[in-house]
Amino acid sequence: MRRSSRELSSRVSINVHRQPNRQRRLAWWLALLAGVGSLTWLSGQYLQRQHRLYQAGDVATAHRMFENECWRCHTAWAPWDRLLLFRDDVASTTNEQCETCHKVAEHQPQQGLAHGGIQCAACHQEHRGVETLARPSSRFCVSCHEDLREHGGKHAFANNITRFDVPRGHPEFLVTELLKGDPPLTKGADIREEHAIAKFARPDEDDADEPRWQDRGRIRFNHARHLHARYFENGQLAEGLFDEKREPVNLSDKCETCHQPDAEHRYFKPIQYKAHCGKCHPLLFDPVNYPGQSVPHELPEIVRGFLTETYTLRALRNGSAPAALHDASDDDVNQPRRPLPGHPDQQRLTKELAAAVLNDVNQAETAAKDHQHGLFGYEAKGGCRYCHEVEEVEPQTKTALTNWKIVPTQIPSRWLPHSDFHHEPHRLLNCGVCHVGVAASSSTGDVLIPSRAVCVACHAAQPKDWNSNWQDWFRTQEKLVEQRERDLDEARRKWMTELTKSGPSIATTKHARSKRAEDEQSFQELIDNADRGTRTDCIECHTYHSPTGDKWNGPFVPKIMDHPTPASREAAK
Amino acid sequence: MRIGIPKTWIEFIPAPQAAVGGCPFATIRFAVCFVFVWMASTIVAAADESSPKFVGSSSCAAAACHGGLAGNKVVGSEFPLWAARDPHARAYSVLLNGLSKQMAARLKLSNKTAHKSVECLSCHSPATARKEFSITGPAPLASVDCEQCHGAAELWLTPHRRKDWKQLSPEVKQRLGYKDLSDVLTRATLCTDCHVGGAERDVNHDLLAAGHPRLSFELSTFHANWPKHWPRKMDESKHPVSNAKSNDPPGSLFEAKLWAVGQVVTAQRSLELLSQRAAHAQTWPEFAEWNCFACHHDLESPSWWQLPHRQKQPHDALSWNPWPYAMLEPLARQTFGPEFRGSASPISATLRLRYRFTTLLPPAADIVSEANEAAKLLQAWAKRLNQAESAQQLLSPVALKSLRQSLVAKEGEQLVARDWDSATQVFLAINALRYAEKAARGSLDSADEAQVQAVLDSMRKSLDFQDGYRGPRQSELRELDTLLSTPP
Repeated sequence: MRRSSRELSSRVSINVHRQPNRQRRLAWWLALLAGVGSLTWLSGQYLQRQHRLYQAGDVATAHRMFENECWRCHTAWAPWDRLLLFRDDVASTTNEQCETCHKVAEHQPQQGLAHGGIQCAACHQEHRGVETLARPSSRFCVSCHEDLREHGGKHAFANNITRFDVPRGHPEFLVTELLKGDPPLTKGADIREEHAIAKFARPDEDDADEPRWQDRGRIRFNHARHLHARYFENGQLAEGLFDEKREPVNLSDKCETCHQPDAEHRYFKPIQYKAHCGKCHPLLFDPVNYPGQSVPHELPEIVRGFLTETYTLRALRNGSAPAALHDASDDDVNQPRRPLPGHPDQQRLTKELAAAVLNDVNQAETAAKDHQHGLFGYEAKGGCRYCHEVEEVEPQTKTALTNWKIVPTQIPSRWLPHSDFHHEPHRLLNCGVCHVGVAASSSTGDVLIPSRAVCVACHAAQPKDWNSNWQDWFRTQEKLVEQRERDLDEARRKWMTELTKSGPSIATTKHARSKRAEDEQSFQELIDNADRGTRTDCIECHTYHSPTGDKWNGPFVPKIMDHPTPASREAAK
Repeated sequence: MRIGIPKTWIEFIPAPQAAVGGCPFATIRFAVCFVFVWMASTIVAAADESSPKFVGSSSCAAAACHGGLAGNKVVGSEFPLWAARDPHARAYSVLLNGLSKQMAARLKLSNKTAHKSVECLSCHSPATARKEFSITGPAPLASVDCEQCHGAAELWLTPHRRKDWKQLSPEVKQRLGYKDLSDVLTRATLCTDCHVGGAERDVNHDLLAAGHPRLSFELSTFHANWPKHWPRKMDESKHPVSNAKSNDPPGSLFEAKLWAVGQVVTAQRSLELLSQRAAHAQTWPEFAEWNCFACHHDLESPSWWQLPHRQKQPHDALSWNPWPYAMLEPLARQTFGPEFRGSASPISATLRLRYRFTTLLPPAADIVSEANEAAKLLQAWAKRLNQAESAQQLLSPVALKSLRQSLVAKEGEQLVARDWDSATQVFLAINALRYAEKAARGSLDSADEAQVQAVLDSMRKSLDFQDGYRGPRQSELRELDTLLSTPP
C-alpha cells in the first residue's frame, strides 16, 4: 500500500515546532528534581550536623595535633585552579608550609622541571585518613621514572623503570651486571668510588692473568673453609673448625659468630681482628720465649715498638745483673740507681745487649709477618701475610721506624648504596638463602651480594587479576597495601590491648614474656599467611629524598619482641 | 758593716822574707798586712751590702780547672761530667720542650713562654731569671749550674784560684759567698730550696695541674741517684765514725745523716712553705697541701672512690699531704726516746697540724702560727742531728738498725700502708737505712741483706703504678701491714 505525501504529512502537526518537547521537558524536570533533591539532602545533612559530604577527609595521624588549624598548612585555595586548568598537581598547600617542620633534602635537583616544580603535596597526599604520608604510592615515582628524560643535565638512572618484579621493569643491580660482564646500565656513576667492587686481581692469586670484577676488600678470607662441616652417619660432627679443645665445631649456620648486627639491627658491625679472628689466628712472634703471645694488631710502627719494648725489657731483666748494691761499685760516676716507686727504672743497655736486642726484634718482626704455628696449640695459621698483603717499602727518612706496610683492606660496609636494606625483617631466613654460594666461596674476591632475582623470589606481586596494564596493577597493589596496613593496624591494636591488659609492670616476668612470645608468633603468622606477595613498592628499598639528607625508610613499626634474634628468642623460651 | 780580718787569714799571708827579700821585717809586714786588711775589708763589705752576682759556669770550665777530660777520673773533669750526666744541666732546656709550652699556655704566664718567665726560671735557671743576679746580664742556658749550689762566685772566684784557698776557714768562704757543701744541713737546705720550694718557687696546685711533676723529694735517694761530679769518698771521709774500734774498717755517718737530716729539713721547709701559702689569703686553701690521692682517683672502674661512704677506709678520706712528714715519728722516737710526743716536741706540733687538714678549709691564721712554730722546732732538731757529737750517738749503727726494724715491725704499723706516700717513704727509708748502716759499720756484709731485699722487692711491686689510668693499688697497700709485720 502506497501512502501519499499528504497522508504522511498529516501525521505531524503543522505546529510541531511550537509544541513543547516532552522528552526535553521531562529531562528538565528530572534535573530540577535532582537538584532540589540534592539540596534538600545536603541541607538535611547540614541540619543533622553531618559535614562529611562536603568536607575533606581526616588528616594523617602525624598531623592530628593541628587538625583544626587549617591555616597551618593552607595558604591558597587550589580547587579552582584544578577545575579550570585541568591540572592535578596543584595543591592547596605550598612547599614552604611543609618545610616549616620537615627540612628534607631535595629528591633530585632536576626534579619536575617540565612541570615548573613539584609540590610536596603532589605525592604526599593529605586528607586521606590514616595513611602514612611518608610512604607515598609507587605510581608517583613511576609517573616520572617510567620515561625519564634529561633536561639539560645528565642523570645516573635507568630511563624506564616501571616495576621491580618484572624482567625489564627495573635495572639489574650494578654489581650483578658487572659480574655478568654486561655493559652497565648506569650512566656517569663512578663505579670504583661508589660501589664496593673493583676490577683488579691480586698478584699472588690464581686468576692473576685475567683481571676480573671482584670484591675490593684486599684481605684473604675463605668462607668455604670456615663454614665447612661434615657429619658421620650417627649425626656426630666429623669435620669442622677446631675449637680451643681441639674438637670440631659447626659454624655453617652460625654466621653471627663473626657477623654481628649493629645497634639498629639493620646492617652488620665491621669484622674486627681482636674479636673475631685473633682467637684462632694469633700473631705469634716468638713461640719459644713468648708462647701464645701475639703482637698487637696495629700499624707496623706499633708492632715494631711493641717488639722493641718487649725485648729491651727482657734483655734488661736477663742480660744485666740484678740491681747492684749502692756501694758495690767503686766507680764514682756510674753508680747503680736506687729504686724509686712511681718512677720506672732507668736502666741502659750496653752496646752488645743493644745489638742483640735489635737482632731479636728483627727476627721477631719477620716471624710475625710470616705464618707461624703455635707449638702443639690449637691455633690456625697466623701472621700478617696470612690475611694481609705486606708491602716492603723504601724508608722515606733515616728515622723511619719500619720498612714495610700493610696494604689498606678496603672492606666495604655497604654494597648497594642506592638502596636502604634492613636485615632485621629478613631474620627468619638463613643467610645463605640470599647470599647464595657463600658456603662454596673460597676467595675474598667472590661477590656474595644477592642479585635482583633473589629479591624478586619474594618481593613480587601475585594478584589474580593481573594484566599488562601496570596502572590496573598499581591500583590493585594500592588496595593490597591498604589492606595490609589495616591488617597490621588490627594486629598491632590487638597486641597492644593484650599487653595493656596484662599490665606493663609484669611484662618482664617469665610468664608475661612467654605470653608475648605467643602473641608475637600469631602476629607473625598473620603476616605470613596473607594472600599476597611481599612489598615491591619503590619506597621499600629506596630513600626518596637524597641519601645524604633524610634517612627515612619505611613506616615506624613498634618492636614487638624482647629478643632480637631467633636464637636468643628460643633461649628465652 | 763588719770589718775584721779573720785570724786564720793572717796566718796565711805570704812569708815576708820570701815576698820582699831583704827589706826590714816589721815595716814590710805591716805594709803587707795593711794592704790585705784593706782588700779584705772591701771584699767583706761588698759581700754584706749586696748579694754577690753570678759569673757564669764558663768561668769554672777552663780545661786546666774543672773542665778537663780525664776519662773516668772525677777530679778535674767536674764540668763535663755535670754537663753530660747531671739532670740539673738540662733544667733550662726542658723549658723549651712541648710540655713546657703547653704549661705556659695553661698558666697564662706573663711572658707567654716558660723560658722567659721568672716563675719557671727562679728554679730552672736562676741566673737567667733576673738581670741583677748575673754579672753578664741574663745568661740563657745557664740551668742549675756550678754557682747555684756552690754560691755566686763574684767575690770568691779570685781567692778560689789561689793556692791558699783550701786553707781558708769555712766561715771566711761563707762570707765571700762560697757555700760549704760538706755540711749535710747546708746541702739539705740548698736542695730543698727548689725541691721543696719557697714563696718565690712554689710548685702549687696550679703548676701541678698545668703539668709540672710533683715534688716528692727524698734527699738520700735523690742524692744516691744523682750522677755526681765529685768522688763519693770525699763526702764519706768528712763524716767519720769516731768511736769505731781500731781494728774495724773506717765507717762513715754521711749516709745516715743524709737521710735523717734530709727528712727533718724536708719537713721543716714544707712547713715554712705551708705557712707562706696560708698567709696568702687569695690562694688559700692551697690544694697541693692535701694528699693527692684523697681527690684524684683511678680513671678506671672499679675504684675505691666508687665505694659507698661506709666502706671507705680512714685513709681514703681527706688528709694532709703525708710525703714530707711520714718518717718524722719513727725518727723522733729514736731521737727523743719515750717522750717523743711531749708538748714541746716537733712531733706534737706537726700532729696538731695534721688534724687541721681533715677539713677543706683550715683556718689560715692558726696554720701560719702553728706551722712556723713547728718549723722552728724541726730546725733545732735538724741542727742536733747534724752536729758531729750528737750524730755519733743518735745515728750509730745500732741505732740505725733498730730504727730500720721499727719501720717494719708491729709498732711501726700505723705509719705504713695508710697511703701510698707513707708506704713509699717507708720503702725508701728501709733502703736508705740499710746503706747507712753498712756505711757506718764500714763493711759490706750484712746478715739480713737477703731478707731486706725480699721485703723491698715485694713492696716495690705493690707501690709501682699500674698500666693505664690507674693510681697505686690501694688494696695491696692495705696488705702491706701483713707483709711488714715480719721483721727482717
